[in-house]
Amino acid sequence: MAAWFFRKIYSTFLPTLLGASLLSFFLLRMVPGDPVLNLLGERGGNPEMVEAMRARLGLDKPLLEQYGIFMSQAIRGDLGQSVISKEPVLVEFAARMPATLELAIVALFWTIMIGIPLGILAAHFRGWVDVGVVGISLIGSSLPIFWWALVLILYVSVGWNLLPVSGRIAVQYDVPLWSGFLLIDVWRTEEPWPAFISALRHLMLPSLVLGTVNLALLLRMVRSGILEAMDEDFVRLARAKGAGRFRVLWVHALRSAWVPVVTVLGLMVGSLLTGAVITETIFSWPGVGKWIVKSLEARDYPVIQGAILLFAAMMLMVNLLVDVIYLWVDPRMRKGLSS
Amino acid sequence: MKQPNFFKHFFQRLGLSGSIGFVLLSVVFLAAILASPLSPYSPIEVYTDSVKIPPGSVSPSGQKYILGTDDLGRDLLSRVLHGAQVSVGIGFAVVIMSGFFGVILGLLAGSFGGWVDQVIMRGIDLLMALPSLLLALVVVAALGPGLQNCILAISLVSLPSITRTLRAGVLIEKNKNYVWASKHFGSSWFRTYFFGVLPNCMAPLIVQLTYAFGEGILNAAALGFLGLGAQAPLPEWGTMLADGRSFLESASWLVIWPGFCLFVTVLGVNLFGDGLRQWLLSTGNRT
Repeated sequence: MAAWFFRKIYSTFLPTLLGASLLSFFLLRMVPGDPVLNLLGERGGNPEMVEAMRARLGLDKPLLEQYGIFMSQAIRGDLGQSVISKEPVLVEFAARMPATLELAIVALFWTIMIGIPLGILAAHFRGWVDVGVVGISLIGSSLPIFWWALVLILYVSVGWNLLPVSGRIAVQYDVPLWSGFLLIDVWRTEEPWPAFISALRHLMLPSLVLGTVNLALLLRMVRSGILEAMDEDFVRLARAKGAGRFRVLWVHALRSAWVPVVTVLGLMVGSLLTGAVITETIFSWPGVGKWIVKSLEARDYPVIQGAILLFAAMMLMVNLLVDVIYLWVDPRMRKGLSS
Repeated sequence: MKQPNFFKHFFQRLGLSGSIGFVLLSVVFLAAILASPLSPYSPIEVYTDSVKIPPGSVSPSGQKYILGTDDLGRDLLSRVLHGAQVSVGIGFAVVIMSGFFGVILGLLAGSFGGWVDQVIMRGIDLLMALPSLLLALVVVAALGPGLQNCILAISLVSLPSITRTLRAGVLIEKNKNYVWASKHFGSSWFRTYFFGVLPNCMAPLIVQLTYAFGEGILNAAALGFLGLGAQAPLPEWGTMLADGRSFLESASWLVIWPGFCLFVTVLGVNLFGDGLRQWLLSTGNRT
């Protein structure tokens, strides 16, 4: 197990991360125009200023040396600093990540709480329940989430005035950040309940939007996983031994359906990050997605470069985690490992 | 006598949902082809006297607008119809680009194996290490916003699934007798793989390309929505949504209709793709 893990690290994790760093570094060097002149903008500047800035950003050195400097700093945890705010990229990222994580966790939570039982019900009852679930899954996977978000805002927020349109919490609540997760931090204030409710209300629409596509995917996988498992010999055996339908479905069949479900959960992390870019932009959610769009608009290249590397690292870690969870949920895979 | 039989067979094989998808897609394609004759007005001409007219109303100058007009007085119906043209065009461009390179890379990786395979597949892993939209965003940021760069970026995003599908197919096919025979009769690598192996890997490839078509349209609209895709005044659905967003309360139809068209198109592609998959992949070679 340990040997397998380390082999995975140096044969997949590290090379891909290295590749991502190369990709982000050289892609951003392809940008048409001089980055320094772009940064100085229309005001321009005298030639000395341009040269000074070029030297300060290290852009006067050969490309390969620039990459070497970037990597050796990155390994030591220094991803450079934002050109706009002058803050280190890692600090900016760490400040925004909790907001994105909070949104993603809430979205993931309700997706799983609804997706898995509903998928099982569809596989169990078939008939109109099944048709309904398949329908939801088809519609959900085709919804352009930016449109879905705007439609929800139009009816739920603007039309019926039920939920807030943007931000993380109503302005009158001043919650000092401690963990970065507002749902936790509100409990350190004097009057936590109203602030907690407000934070929860602000989370509802964005997490609904963020979770919709994933719900569609999860429903589909759970349903087909269970249907496939129901045809297996071990399910027939369990039935023959006298296990009730309920037990067979929730214990025996669900267990073998875990493998595709874990795959989908792994894929979801990627789609949560992608979805965060759009969802956060629409709902003015102060997380990493909005940060990246802002940096792209402002051509803040150190930030973009660092963000790509951090996102790739997160994705790769999730993939690694998914592989480990596979071994945990499916003993058959553990057997293949030792041989 | 022959025609009805063909259609009956076709729809039976596609299944119910596949047929619904086919019909939806046909409507979108027809709208795209007939956009100019069907449009009552120009999609880009600005009429300052008929700004934000609600759907079905008549403008001060006595013209009727079925879907209303936008903030610059452009007829929404005409823009939505021309938007179909733009989106279908983007979809085909993405399919052609990613299909072309995906086929070449997949054939190379599958047939040669060894270091060629390693290099290509590591590159593909790399493209998959980033969330798809983020990759497209970064590529567009590097190349500059615009429709062409947006298509390029989205094709890059669709490349992994196509390359992997074809590589898997080639790995199954390459040990079969006909490949051996073809090689030993002196066919070149090109002839063996492009005319021998490729046609035998078509079924999963077609399904994958169908999904790439829908995903390409969706991603292009997302880039357009973020202001990095098609640029005004081109009537692209995502860009229209971004423009209409500022008038969500005063002119909600500017948000509803372009998005609805996008949704119907993507739904059609996905349904049709599912139908195709059941038809092409559940008989014979099951993957």
